[in-house]
Amino acid sequence: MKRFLRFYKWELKNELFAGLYFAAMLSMYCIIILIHGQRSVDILIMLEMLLVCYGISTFQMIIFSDDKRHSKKTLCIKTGIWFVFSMIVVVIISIMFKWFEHMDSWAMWSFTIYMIICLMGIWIGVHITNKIDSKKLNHMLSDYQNKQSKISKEDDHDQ
Amino acid sequence: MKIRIEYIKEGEDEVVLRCKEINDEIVEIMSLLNMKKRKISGEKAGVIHLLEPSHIYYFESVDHVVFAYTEDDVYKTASTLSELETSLCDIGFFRCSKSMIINLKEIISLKSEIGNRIDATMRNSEHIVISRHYAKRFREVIQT
Repeated sequence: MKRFLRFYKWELKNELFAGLYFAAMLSMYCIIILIHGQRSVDILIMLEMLLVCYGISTFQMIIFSDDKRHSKKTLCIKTGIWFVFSMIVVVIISIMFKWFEHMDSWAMWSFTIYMIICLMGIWIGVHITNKIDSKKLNHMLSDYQNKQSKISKEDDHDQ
Repeated sequence: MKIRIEYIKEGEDEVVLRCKEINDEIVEIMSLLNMKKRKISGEKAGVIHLLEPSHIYYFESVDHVVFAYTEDDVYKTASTLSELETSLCDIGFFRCSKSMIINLKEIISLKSEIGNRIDATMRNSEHIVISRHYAKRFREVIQT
């Protein structure tokens, strides 16, 4: 049961990321579609996008999931691999399944650049969040250690 | 092993262990007794040392053997991680992963990492990772 709950939690987080990427991908695609004078998105293309996003988020969860301590270099390599893999998958799938058929050439390029900015944005966001959290953690640690040393001094005094 | 209790009318209560040599059983009994006084018995190069918990940075279990790490030394203990966790949790020790217990008072800085992990830098510059499964509880503990 514990294992199932752990997996369930992991999967929920995975789907949260997949949903985020899907929302970003679809919104940009909708803008490109509108610029080309169309007002509907093929449901198959939406499904393909969802699956691509799920694949990217699953790869992300796997590559960043272990509990070992990594050096900055290893972290950069992992991030680079995740980034390159994600972009390759998006580009290949969009070409294979003709997401930009009957559209101008700038459509695919702008979509790709937008996805690069999105992924970088997520990375920067995670980095900033971690920095803020680290500051908060250190404050909490400092307060905890001060409280504990006061308690220890009181205990020594009582003895 | 024979157990004998001698009743006394005066004087301090005392536990005396008589043995030909210090074996695993004796070490276990010592650990049990020392747990009550918050001392940890650790073995290094065949010699038993009584360690102050405040001098221990962290405990690590390797192949079902628990080692206590101080600033400069490593000692083998007879206690299990669960026993240590139970007896030392109220004096600043926290189970930070499946195989480690960390002394919160010896942490000098924390760093939040990807995947909800926390990297703790100890006083001797060692880095201990608080796994994501224990990170939530860790935050609750240092917030109290």
